[in-house]
Amino acid sequence: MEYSLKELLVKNAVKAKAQVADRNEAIDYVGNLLVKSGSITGDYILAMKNVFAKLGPYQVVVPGIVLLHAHPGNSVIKTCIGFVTLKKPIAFANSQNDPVDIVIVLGARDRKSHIKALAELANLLSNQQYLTKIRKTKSSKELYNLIISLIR
Amino acid sequence: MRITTLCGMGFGTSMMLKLFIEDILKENKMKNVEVVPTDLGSFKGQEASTDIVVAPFDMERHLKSSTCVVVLIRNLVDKQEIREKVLDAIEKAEQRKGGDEIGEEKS
Repeated sequence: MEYSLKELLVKNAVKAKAQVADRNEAIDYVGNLLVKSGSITGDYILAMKNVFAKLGPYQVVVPGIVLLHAHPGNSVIKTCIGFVTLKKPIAFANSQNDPVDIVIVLGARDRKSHIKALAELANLLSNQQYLTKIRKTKSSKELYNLIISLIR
Repeated sequence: MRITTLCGMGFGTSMMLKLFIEDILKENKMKNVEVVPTDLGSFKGQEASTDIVVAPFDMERHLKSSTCVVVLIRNLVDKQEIREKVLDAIEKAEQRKGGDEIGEEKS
């Protein structure tokens, strides 16, 4: 079963203009939104931090945008995506794509079911006009509706 | 010819890269190129059978001693960047192999 981005995007884990001090806080912030919505457990947050520490900041895969995730497993209750824009960009120690103002967390239960959603996400992130709109949006509810409306 | 797309876990970043690269191969009617996403841990065992490795820029330090043609991508959703770098790498890899394994589709 492959899910679409619309199905995986957790409404309560879409926030506009969040305020965090550094990358650890950013991971905690988005992670906790997904914990509260019952999508992941706290272990997944730790796992994401470990991946980051071990493999380095390559996950800032687009200028200004980090796509965080860890190995799939039991700490993911259901495959999910959280999407948060930051009020103030923060450093993730990437050599080229810092600073980051969009933090995306993928909670993957297995290696396959998120692929359709990932393709839709890539399509959305490759459009500069879409990104400008996303970055301008100040209300979380509007941000959720905007992202849903931009999915192709 | 084999292109391996690489990331930490083998199903996120590397999967995104695979999707874009397959589009590019289709556009250019390149057959006989397979694209395989993998994780850093498994890559060492597959390196000998891989011609080109494509990875996000900050994985460079893990690929310093690679025997493959190495492609580093700055913006993972910039199809133009990926297209230029990957097509260039395919040319290099072909030269290394000294053959013309990539058949052009006859239209």
